[in-house]
Amino acid sequence: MTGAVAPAAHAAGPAAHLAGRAMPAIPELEACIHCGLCLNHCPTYRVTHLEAESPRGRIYLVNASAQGRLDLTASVADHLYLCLMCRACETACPSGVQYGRIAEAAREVLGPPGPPVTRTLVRLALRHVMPYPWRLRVVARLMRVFQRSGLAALAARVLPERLRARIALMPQAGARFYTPEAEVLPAIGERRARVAFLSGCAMSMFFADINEATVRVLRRNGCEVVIPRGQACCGALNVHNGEAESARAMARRDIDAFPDDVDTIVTNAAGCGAAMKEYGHLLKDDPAYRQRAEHFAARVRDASEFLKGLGLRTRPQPMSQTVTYQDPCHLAHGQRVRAEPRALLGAVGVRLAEMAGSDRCCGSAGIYNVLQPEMAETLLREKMEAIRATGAATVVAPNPGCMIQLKYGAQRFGVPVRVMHLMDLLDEAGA
Amino acid sequence: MADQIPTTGTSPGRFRLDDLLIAELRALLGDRLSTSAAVREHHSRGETYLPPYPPDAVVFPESTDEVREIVRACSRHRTPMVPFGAGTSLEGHVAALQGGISIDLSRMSRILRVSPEDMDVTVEAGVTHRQLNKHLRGTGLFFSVDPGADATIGGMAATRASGTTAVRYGTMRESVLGLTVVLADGRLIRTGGRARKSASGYDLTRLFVGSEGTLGVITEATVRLHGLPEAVSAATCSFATVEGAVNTVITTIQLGIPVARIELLDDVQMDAVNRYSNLGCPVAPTLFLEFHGASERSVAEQVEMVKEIAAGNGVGDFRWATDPEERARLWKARHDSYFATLALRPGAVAITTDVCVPIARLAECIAETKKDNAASSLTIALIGHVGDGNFHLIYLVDPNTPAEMEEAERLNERMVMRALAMGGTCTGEHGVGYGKMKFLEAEHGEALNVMRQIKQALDPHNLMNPGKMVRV
Amino acid sequence: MDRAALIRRLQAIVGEPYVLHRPDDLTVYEQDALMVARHKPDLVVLPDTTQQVSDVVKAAREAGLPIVARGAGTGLAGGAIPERGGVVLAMTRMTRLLDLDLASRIAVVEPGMVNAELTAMLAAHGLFYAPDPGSQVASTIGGNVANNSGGPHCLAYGVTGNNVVGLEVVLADGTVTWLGGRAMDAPGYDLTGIMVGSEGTFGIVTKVVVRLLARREAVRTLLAIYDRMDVACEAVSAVIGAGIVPEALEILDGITMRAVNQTLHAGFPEDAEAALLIEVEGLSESVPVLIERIEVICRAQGARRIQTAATAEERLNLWKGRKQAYGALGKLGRRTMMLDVCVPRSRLPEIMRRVLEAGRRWNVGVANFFHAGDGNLHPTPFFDFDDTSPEYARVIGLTEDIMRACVELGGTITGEHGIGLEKREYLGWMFNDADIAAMKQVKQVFDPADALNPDKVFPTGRSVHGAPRGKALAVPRA
Repeated sequence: MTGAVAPAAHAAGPAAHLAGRAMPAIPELEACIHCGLCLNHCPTYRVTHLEAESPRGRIYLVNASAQGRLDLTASVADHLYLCLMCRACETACPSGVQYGRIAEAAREVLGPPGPPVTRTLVRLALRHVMPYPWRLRVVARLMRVFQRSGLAALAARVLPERLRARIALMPQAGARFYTPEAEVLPAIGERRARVAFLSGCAMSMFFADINEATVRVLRRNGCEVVIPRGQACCGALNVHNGEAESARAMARRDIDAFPDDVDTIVTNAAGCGAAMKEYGHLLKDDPAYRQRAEHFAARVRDASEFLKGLGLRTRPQPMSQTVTYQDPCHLAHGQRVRAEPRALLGAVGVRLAEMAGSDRCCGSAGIYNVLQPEMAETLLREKMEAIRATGAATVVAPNPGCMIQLKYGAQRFGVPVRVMHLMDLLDEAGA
Repeated sequence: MADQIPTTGTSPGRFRLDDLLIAELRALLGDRLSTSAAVREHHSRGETYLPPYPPDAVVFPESTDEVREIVRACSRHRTPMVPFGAGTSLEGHVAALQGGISIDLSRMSRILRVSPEDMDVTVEAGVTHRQLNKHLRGTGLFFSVDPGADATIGGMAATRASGTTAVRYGTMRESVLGLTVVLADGRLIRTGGRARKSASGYDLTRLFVGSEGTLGVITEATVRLHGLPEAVSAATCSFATVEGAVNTVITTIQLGIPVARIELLDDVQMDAVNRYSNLGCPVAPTLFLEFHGASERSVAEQVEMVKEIAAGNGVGDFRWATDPEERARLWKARHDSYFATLALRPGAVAITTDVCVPIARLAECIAETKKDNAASSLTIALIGHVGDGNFHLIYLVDPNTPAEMEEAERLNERMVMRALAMGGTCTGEHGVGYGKMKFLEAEHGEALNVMRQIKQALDPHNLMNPGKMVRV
Repeated sequence: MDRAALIRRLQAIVGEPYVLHRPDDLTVYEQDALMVARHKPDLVVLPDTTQQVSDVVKAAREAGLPIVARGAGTGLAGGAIPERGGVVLAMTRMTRLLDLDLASRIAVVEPGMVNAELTAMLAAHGLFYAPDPGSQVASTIGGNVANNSGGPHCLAYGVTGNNVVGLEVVLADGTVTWLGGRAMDAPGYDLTGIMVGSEGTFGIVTKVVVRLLARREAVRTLLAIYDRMDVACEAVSAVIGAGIVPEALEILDGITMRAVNQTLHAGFPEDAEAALLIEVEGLSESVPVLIERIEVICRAQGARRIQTAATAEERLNLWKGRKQAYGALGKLGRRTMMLDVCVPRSRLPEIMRRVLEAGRRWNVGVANFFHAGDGNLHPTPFFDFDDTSPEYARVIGLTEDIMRACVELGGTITGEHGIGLEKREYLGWMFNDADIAAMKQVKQVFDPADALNPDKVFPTGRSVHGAPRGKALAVPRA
């Protein structure tokens, strides 16, 4: 070759915390045949047009590290953490590559995302706050104070631009933290099923009323609802942000807290449902918990799947409104649940105006919108335009993260739309 | 007119024929080499209005090997060569501008292989399309490119010929699957193949199709065939305005109606055709259409749809025929339009020109052209394969009145520039030859450099049909 | 020019974020969809305008670096793999639809426009872009042009070369020129025609003028199930022999059907050996007539079962099985390697016999699905070892036997995937020295310094198969 270019030292050096680490050569990596059909389903590839921000590229990086051909650097970590973990690529992949598992394994090696300060803060939050419901209550109360006292408004004026955006993104802490009236709530009318309910951390902090609505709907349809006191956060955020060990501890705790003898464990948060359905995989190397984890995972259902399977008991009042539906990534791609929520919408008589790209990520992605505000904003803008184009007055999004993001988006981009949870809507309709 | 043919050309750079070469060729071909004035005159112009340039000698090879020997010999003696098929070209393609040897391929007329199952044939370059279709009778297949004249397949490949069926079946570009070509130094190459799809290497077939004999001599071609339609119907519809006719064409194509032929004849042309072929149609802009289909019903459906579209565009007369004889009469009248026009003014010669514009600008282009021509005293007829935005003008000029000739050229040049300005090209199907070289330059800009370099690479001594297409 | 200076110069042209130079950023561009070779580029640049492309080409040339254009990197022949390093010019940012001329039925698009997205944009106007390769949800128009891509609907509408009317191209010295234009059949040498399929070795395409076709009124799709492959192939000939040219005519074999059933629950029978997928479009009167005739022919040839789709949904379901076939085959073995060869259609039964024979001889399983109407096959060996294993030689033996058989039957060694890296050593099976020399002369005109995608298409004496990985990477980097 006639190149006359001498290699130069790299500007961005290796990250100290990654020195000596390499990706594991897990069997899931083999399934990728490098066809590239995932590219245009990936939101970050569509925005950046960069191979390294595509599922194929990310798998390639993990593989190259696993084969000893690539050192892990801050740049590699950045590429892997720009991923939303939306798993739209899994839906698109003709080879059945389990991208989610590859990404989670990679993040376990990388640890939490971002520069050192961010990493420390994220680790603190994930290890020392998320697993403890009472600490979450304290944080929720602090947030309420911060937001209602005017401190938030003050901070918004005083802080630099990039922090301001993150303050704005902060959801409104609910008036109260979800507290069920009892641990076991009887069915209303004839009992048709006995289910356990995951109250969830985000739902409890920000949408206590939706949890209550969910339980009401379940009970009205003949479910005895068990809400175990010992339960806590499912650990999804921990898995997605490189805190796999603490996630495993949280999984074990929930497996212990939930009774073995309920047929179904119901959740109204798509992200939690997806995470819990993978508990078998999360604890596959734990001989003591593996089987129980699989038994647990096999019983997890999203509220929409469960209710559709059970069949609504009452004929709800038809609601003559037009709604549009946002497929939460972890429901549509993570759990392949798309038809059931739509069927339930049909059952309450709303007119469904499908939005273009309903299963494309809104940019919430757990704490992604806080860590990657630019990408999240770009995706949110597109999403809000898609919603606007449907002309619907309501968008239904059965996941707390999506709801928070879309509410923010409605305000930020001036799209006058009400953001509801599916259970909320069903409750209103009297289902 | 033999005594008017110059025996040495008047163009600059004309070389002096080497007697040694003639001797070599005569040893190779015997009496299949001719230097008689009559034969040379016949090979001096084709069907163009441009002046004749006879070669110094004409050879009649009968095989690819003989062509190779001829080319090698000419190459050794640095003698220009001009491939010649049936001589029906219209832009001076076969004129031997610098003299030299005219290589007449008409004796290479064997049909080498017919594969009805694969629907392709391989023929020698001198086979004409009518000969081929006659040979195919009974197979249920036909070769679709029909330029009107009985041109050879080799010549049609060299000029990327089109025809009345292009709107449905494509042109030579779609029809040629592979070629055998003798290059300027006598090398023999094969391009393409029989496979319907191939991504192997460069598609040199595309380079040679339309190269007008300037890159080599095509000696064999493999071409695609189509199935004869189960049902055929023809129709004529006359309109109040050219615009109405063109809009009908646009809508027809946009709706995906798979019409097989669409021809537009203006009022002047219709008048000529009426007189010559006794058609009795209204003297007005008229569309001649042909429909192919899988059944009588599907053809009838197509006719109905077009009738409806035409009704919305000011159609007057609408006639249609399924009877084969009636259809043949209609199309013969169309194909005889050239002679019909000539008959309008006995003693005149016809200058035929040819442009192509995007179909959306067609009505506009024709309207402006007609306005431009209205001021002239010349009789000018218009006919075109409007399905692809291509139309021809026929100017009738008195060969003895140079002023008329100049006027026709002036009007033509304006029309070509008009077409270029509308995003069109200077030739829809007649090719460049040397008559349209200056327009090629206007049209192509930088790409012309690339063309020049390709010509120089494959024919460094500029022996293959020099002075045509690309100026080196 | 040293590397740092080149990087600065390139950054000045396209902007800092679009000049990639870190090891991880370069690594992801070392492969396309061909997995048996990889080479890191020196740099990757992502331009956004024709002017930027021209300036980058000039800069790279001044630095003495080769240039490899890349679309989505879905090519199966390794055409985008930078074997000699150099600058990979990724065209993925240039995705605009520049002009849509509905009346003339052409569109002008940038090369990074995704094939399926172009057709989606046209749907509202009742138009579509015909070449629909299996990769269309990812592959770009520019990449399609480089490879002369095909697809199932090419039977009726031709391949990319028949659907491209003009190209804006940046040549090896940075000159920008138009080839062809907005009208089909531009006079002069058909430079558009030879640029299509030139695999990035003649120039960098920066705009494509594509021909648009009108969606027909009616479409019907039919699935015919057969117990034997050779009978199915004969049915293909019978349909075409009856003068019917469907819009698409595809075949899947039993192995493929069973694999697709596993991934997609497509509902194919578990014990059939071949399925014919036939699609017909046209006016609403003629289409049902045609489909009925095809049904009669298929039954007469011994179809076990026939399923017709009339609604859009039913039709999509029938097609999903076919379009996802390649990916579904991933389930059959750890590795697959889709071949791409083409024979005259009448030789289909014979080539299928020889494919199955070769599979038995080399003891490698082979799945088959193909564009039967064009005679374009995709025999896909599947196996559990990878390409560094000595067993891999069996796969190469199988591949060569199949290619040889195709050439013997009057066909070609690549129907639509291109020569790229993968097949360059076999070009001589299709063309003799004189033919190849002529091709090289044309290449010389476009790229005298051999800077554009060097070592593709023409034989180099270095095969990507069989040579141990180490050798391929040891190409000297001066």
